Amino acid sequence: MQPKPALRGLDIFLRKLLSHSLLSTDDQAAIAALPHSRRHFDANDYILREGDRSDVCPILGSGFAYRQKATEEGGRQIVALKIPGDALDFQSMYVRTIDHNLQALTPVDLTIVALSDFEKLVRSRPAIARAVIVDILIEASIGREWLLNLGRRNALARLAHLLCEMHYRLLDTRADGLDLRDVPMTQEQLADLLGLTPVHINRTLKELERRGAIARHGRGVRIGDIAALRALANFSDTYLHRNNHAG
Amino acid sequence: MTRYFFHTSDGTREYDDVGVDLADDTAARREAARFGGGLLQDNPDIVQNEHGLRINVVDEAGSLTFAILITALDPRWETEKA
Repeated sequence: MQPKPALRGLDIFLRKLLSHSLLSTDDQAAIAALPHSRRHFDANDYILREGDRSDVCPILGSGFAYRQKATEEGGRQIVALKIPGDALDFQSMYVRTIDHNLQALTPVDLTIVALSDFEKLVRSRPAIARAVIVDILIEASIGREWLLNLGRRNALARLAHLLCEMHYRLLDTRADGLDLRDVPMTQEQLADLLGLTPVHINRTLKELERRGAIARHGRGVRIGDIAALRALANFSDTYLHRNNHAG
Repeated sequence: MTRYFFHTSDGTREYDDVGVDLADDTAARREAARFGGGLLQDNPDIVQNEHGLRINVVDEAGSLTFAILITALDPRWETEKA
């Protein structure tokens, strides 16, 4: 079936939900039929701001985004990375105030769905309600893994772990996994994500390249040897719950 | 903004060919200290190297702006000298 271009955001969103939850064809059709609009943001644009209230749930159709929080002194921490197919604000269905900032990492195309439409869907369709909760739980699980990553892994394992995670998360919605050539993350952004200095990030990228785990082309990064990367990170994908619905 | 490069030696030499843009020398000194802190956190044993950890901060022209040294002092050595 040829997907209609206008439905691209909802298509990839559905694929994301199906990666962790079972949905009947009827439920799938109800999601595909959600009223929506499309919006484009440039890299670095704010999509949601801390303290605001939201009545829509943007879904990332293409591009990458991140959640960040900052201290009063301006120290910024990237606390979550969102990839195509991710719903960006399920939580505003349940809590009133947005508790972090959401920014575009790359240019992004968003599919915007009114929270009231989502609410109708989860109220009338238990399997969809369950899928939404599973999605929120998996994001929380990723957050716990990031706490461990930032608190207790050395720079090499920390960066390797992040790259492994992105690779496996991307595999849920596309066949080739991580190709950071599409994700122009600067040293500074990786530093803000991993709690390291940009110099340390650069040194660590070089070390990963030297060991053959990644290949670099200018600023872009590609997986060189996923097995080597996994070994360096001691990576297990259990926390991503990738085969959640498999028996 | 000035681009600073942070070369390290801790038994082996690591050459920084990318650098970081920073406001001034003070910002570069802070960055070097944080970077050194990160390296120490990864591997506290580097203070035991013969010359510890040295971070040379170099400007775009290649001249040394300053260096940070982190090393463990052997108290016996201090006593002998006294």
